[in-house]
Amino acid sequence: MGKFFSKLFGNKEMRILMLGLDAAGKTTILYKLKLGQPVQTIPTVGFNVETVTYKNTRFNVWDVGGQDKIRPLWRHYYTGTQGLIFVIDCADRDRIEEARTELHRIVNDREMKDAVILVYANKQDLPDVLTPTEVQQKLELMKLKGRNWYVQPSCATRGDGLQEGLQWLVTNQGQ
Amino acid sequence: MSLTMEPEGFSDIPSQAESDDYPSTSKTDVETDKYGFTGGTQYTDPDSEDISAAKLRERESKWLRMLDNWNKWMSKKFPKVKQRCRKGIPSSLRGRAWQLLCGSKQLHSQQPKQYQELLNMEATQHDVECIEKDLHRQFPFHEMFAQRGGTGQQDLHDVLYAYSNYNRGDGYCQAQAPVAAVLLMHMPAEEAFWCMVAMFEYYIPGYYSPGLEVVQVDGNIMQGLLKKVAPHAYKHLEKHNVSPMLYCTEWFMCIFSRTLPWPSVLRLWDMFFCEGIKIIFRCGLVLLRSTIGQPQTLKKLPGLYETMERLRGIDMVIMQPERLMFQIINLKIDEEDLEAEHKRQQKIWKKQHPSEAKDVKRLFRYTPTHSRSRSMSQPSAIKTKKKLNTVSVNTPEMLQQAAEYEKNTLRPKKSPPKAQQNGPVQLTEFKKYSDDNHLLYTANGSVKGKQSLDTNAAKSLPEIHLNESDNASPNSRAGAQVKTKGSAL
Repeated sequence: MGKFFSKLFGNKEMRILMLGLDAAGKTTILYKLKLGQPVQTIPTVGFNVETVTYKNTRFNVWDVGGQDKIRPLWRHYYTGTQGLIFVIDCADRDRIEEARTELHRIVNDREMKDAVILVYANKQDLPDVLTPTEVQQKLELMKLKGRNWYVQPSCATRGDGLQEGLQWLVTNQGQ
Repeated sequence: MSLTMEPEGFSDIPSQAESDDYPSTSKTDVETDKYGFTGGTQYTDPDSEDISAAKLRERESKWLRMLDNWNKWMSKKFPKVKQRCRKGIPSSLRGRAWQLLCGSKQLHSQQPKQYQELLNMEATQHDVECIEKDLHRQFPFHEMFAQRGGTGQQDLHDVLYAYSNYNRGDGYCQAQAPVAAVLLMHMPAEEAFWCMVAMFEYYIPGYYSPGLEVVQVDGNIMQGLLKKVAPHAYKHLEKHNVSPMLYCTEWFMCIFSRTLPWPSVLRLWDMFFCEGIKIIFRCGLVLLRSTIGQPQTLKKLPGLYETMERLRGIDMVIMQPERLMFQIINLKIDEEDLEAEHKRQQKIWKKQHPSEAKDVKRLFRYTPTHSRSRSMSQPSAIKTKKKLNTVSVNTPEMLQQAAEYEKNTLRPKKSPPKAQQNGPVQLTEFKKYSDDNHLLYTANGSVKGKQSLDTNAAKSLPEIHLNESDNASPNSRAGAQVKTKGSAL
């Protein structure tokens, strides 16, 4: 029945995996999208998952803890992922290399080969942050051959850029 | 705020900063399977058959709904939980589901600081050395444990170290390491520690105790049950004096994590966490039946050596997840059989080991009575049947159900007489065993509402035996799948 209605009204579902280094703002993004307001977050050990509807698309967003010690657990969330949201703390210049390492490891995994890649260049409200262009360069996104990716500047606490990111996902899913 | 960057626009990116500068490159180059193995016997062919991504997402959402309302599901719809565990828990939710099934989340919340305290404690020199020696030898082909001194090995060290302090009576036993490693592949270290505690206390109590009596008796129980499951195999093993300890020590103590192909390990553990140790017995029996169950096979195995060789190299086809799980689910060996055989084997054991007899008072059957206080968290599933003449339908799942039920509906009046009757007896019997294990408890291990639930559960939980003699269709994969589907109801 659910499937019938979604066909009728063109509703789509999309499984999104949201990763990134610890304290990049993943959980804040998730709940800003879900609730429309910033929430006080604690470091995620394990995962949060919420369904966010945007323009007839139901995003099933998995937000997984990013601390280095628990990153090996990320792979359990790969299978079935249609879109990867990778969140960058643009104020954390020191760890952009680390972020690049992780991003490339994720997207090169066989289970993630079909996922489209949205990078939130987050915390754009802070001073002296990496610009989206810098993020794109530092992450070496050009090296991702044959992949559909996009860098979206954002400020999760204010909600800036978040909807635009979803819009890109809506437009680019399954392509 | 709408900076759009298409890849085409940035062809001027300098490309000199290449591989040597980036440790990442070497890491990303290593091809792992979907479970994180880079090679070795556990490596899973990426092209091997699996459920579709759509199906997986569907299961995931079902599991999410279930986890959101866990207590309700466990108390009211346990058969459905069991059925879903039998189909396999989605990888993304496995860690969380295991912890809920075994009750480790509660243990953890009761002692939120204990893990750290145990890490700060001094462990015995012997244990420290032994743990150190084993760290780089657990699943060396898994990305998590491949790097010497890496975070995976560090976590493994911590979990094992903490446990050796937690249970000083048993201390560190080598077989604990692979178990801890499997858990660490699915959850952070502290959660893995508590999950291990729950497993060792509720599911396989005594498995790592000095002397290993419990494992030995369990081996005998399995071989005894083989008489019913595969009489030819049983006769053969007896005739050639193949003691179960020769082939099943690793099966039992590592919970098959070193025996089965990885997808099967995970599926087996899914069921084990939900249904208890009977799954381990059934798995062992199925492997034996499939490997040495046929008279014509046995003709080619003239002695102990050849038999052992065969049992050490079990055909991969036999161990493929769908086929193996189907056979395990449909094997007609239940708790009653285990109890009866345990009784028999215990008598024999007593005769053989008159001085140690009372140490074997423990029972293989576990009870996750983790519903209330820490003091209840000991394995209290002691056979009360013969003494009390109560109906023995307290399978692990039913007791779990009862525990959850009790937790959800705090009805103090509900059957206290019954509970009292069961409780103290269980604990007294437990005490005999636990004295050697330094586990602490207080005498309030009753499970309220258990009786009524047991009865309900017994009615609502008909065991599924669609295809009893799976010898008949082991090669018919299609048939097996259809039947699995049917049995899922």
